[in-house]
Amino acid sequence: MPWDIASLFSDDMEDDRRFRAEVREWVAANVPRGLCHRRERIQPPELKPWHRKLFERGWIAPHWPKEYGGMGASLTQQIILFEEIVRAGAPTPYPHGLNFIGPIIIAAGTEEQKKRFLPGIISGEATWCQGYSEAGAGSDLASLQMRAALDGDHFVVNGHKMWTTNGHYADWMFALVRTDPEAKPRHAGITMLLIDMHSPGITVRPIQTLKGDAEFAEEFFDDVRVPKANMLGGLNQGWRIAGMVLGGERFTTGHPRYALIYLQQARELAKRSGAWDDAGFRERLTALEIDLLAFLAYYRHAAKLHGTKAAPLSIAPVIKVAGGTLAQRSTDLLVQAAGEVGASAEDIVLASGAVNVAAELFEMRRLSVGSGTTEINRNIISKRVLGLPDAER
Amino acid sequence: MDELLTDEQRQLRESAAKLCADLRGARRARALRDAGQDIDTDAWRAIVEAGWLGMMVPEMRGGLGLGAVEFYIVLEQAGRHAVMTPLLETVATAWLFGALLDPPQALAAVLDGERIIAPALDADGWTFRRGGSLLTRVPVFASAAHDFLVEADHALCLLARPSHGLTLTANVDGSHAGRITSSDAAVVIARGDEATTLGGRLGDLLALGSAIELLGLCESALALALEHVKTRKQFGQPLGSFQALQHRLADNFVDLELNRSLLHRICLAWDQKTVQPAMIAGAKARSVRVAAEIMRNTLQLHGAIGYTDEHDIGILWKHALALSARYGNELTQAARFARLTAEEG
Repeated sequence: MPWDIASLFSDDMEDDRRFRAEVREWVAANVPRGLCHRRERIQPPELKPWHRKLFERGWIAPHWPKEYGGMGASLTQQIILFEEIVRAGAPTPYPHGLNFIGPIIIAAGTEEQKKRFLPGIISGEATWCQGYSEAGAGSDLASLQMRAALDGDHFVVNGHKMWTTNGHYADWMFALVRTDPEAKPRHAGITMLLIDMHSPGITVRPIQTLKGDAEFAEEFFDDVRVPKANMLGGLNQGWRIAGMVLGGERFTTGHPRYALIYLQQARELAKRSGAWDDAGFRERLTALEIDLLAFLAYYRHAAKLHGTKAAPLSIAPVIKVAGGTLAQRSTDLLVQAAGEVGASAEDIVLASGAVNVAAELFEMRRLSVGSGTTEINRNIISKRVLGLPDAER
Repeated sequence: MDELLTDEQRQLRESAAKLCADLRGARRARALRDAGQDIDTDAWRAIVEAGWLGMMVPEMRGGLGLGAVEFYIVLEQAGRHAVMTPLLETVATAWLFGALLDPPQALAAVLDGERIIAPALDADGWTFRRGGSLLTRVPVFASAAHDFLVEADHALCLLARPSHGLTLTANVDGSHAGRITSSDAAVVIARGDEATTLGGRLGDLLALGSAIELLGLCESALALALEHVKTRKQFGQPLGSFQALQHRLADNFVDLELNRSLLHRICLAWDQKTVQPAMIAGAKARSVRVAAEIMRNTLQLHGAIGYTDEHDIGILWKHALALSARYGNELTQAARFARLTAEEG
């Protein structure tokens, strides 16, 4: 039996296998070649036609209910779609509209909001960004300060949002804003607003990342008027509304596929650079491959439980901590595999395609910071899973 | 994993948990060690009565006809309560006997718990280095075994306990390893391809079982440490409120969650006949690595009491060392994983 780690422990049932074969064939025939195996992040405008194609095929939002244009499909099919797109070396659609705010609008939006926002999200016409973090509110998100004050049938928004992926491309932002500065606890004074990024009073400035591209941005809001009709959920209900994001998102950002690809590249690169001759290199590769095997088993198990009553609370933080650490260590090894060109800013061409080891090293730092740091996830495990106490004051 | 068990499997887990808990775990292991005994005879009697020894033997051959998932369920509990019996060795040997075209007559006595057979095979299912006489190592239960399962000239054989030439060495957990030098005739039970294939799979089952026992043991160690840090106060605070300690425990938990999934998935694959030896090599290697880390951390969290013979955490550690060393330790199994994935890939 060949050792094909990606296919181990598969839970695919007969119709899943059919779906996978169908997707694989369609992706091979339809994926825009120019978008495949690109080292830099593909910006939303360039990604739009690919999003559109997936939308027209009916596969863009497998997890959405059919009445809103989704497939009403299981997480398994969502993962299959993701895996097959990644397998072809193609970019996956951005999650902010499809996975973050879309499902929240479906769950908590008014009929009018659903009609107004969902079609643009699913077709990819509207680019969305998430306005949560601020200069002073990162892990401690509930300390956010951006103020929204009611003035007739509008909110007047003043403040600053930061570290916003695609902020400089977005047509819309779903933002957590402070509507009650006196609220105790602080969570109780936060509201979710859907903000038109073309409104007067918004200044957007891209931020260059460690990797060198402008993935995220900061936005300044100066007396920006947002109609009250754009409030999602009730006044001061924002914290609860934000908590409705489906944990399914973890299954794409935390997918073992990243580590799998890096370790395969490290193996190939090491044979070329001579690093392969070092017992130390091979020992570390083996240890990471064993970790990958274990993480893959966990991932399959978690995907099977996701959305069922039996799914334990620990799934999301475990994927975050284990998957993030594994992917980062895999890029560390990739740098080792490159030997003396490990710090090169240029691509290295391998039989399987080009690899830029430093770019991957930088890129993977996102995993331990974005959407909850690994430290916050360890806190969640400590307190909510292991039941460890808070300090007595 | 518990979430995906069938009702029957859930019942088995409950009864296994109760049976193993009643055996009084680490306390009992300490008493046995002090008495120089390899086997907890009360525990052994209870296990025989429960029918576990034949769990992986087909019903038509006198067993329960269960699979590797049930093996996982029972061994996890045995590991959790540090049950000191040749449960794994006997279940694995009985599985082997039951899988042979021509099962040895000894099978019935093995299932009754009357005849204890200690495997003396390496991680690939091989044993013997031969001079003029047989020379082999028995990793555990050398003092209680009636026979030894060995490999010679590509045949699987039963070697009756020799009158001379068996040297015993005590392990830290009170169990006994042995070294056999014997020129006695051994009884061949399988030859050729059957011996090669089943011998290899027996080695896999022993490695897998020892990894599952380690998982259970680590669960107990983590539970002890959690209980300790929730109650023990220093600087006016429970130890468990300090974030540096919380995060280490969280990492231990994450590592165990991964191993639990891996071992369970491997058992499912065993039952579906899609298991690959590399999976088991990787799982044993990781189980030993994680056990070392968890035992180091949980012992440390206990402070000075952890350094005493009196506290259970030390007994668990010693048993973990013994389970880690037999049937392939971390580096042996990691090297095997690398070799197998290169061959199969």
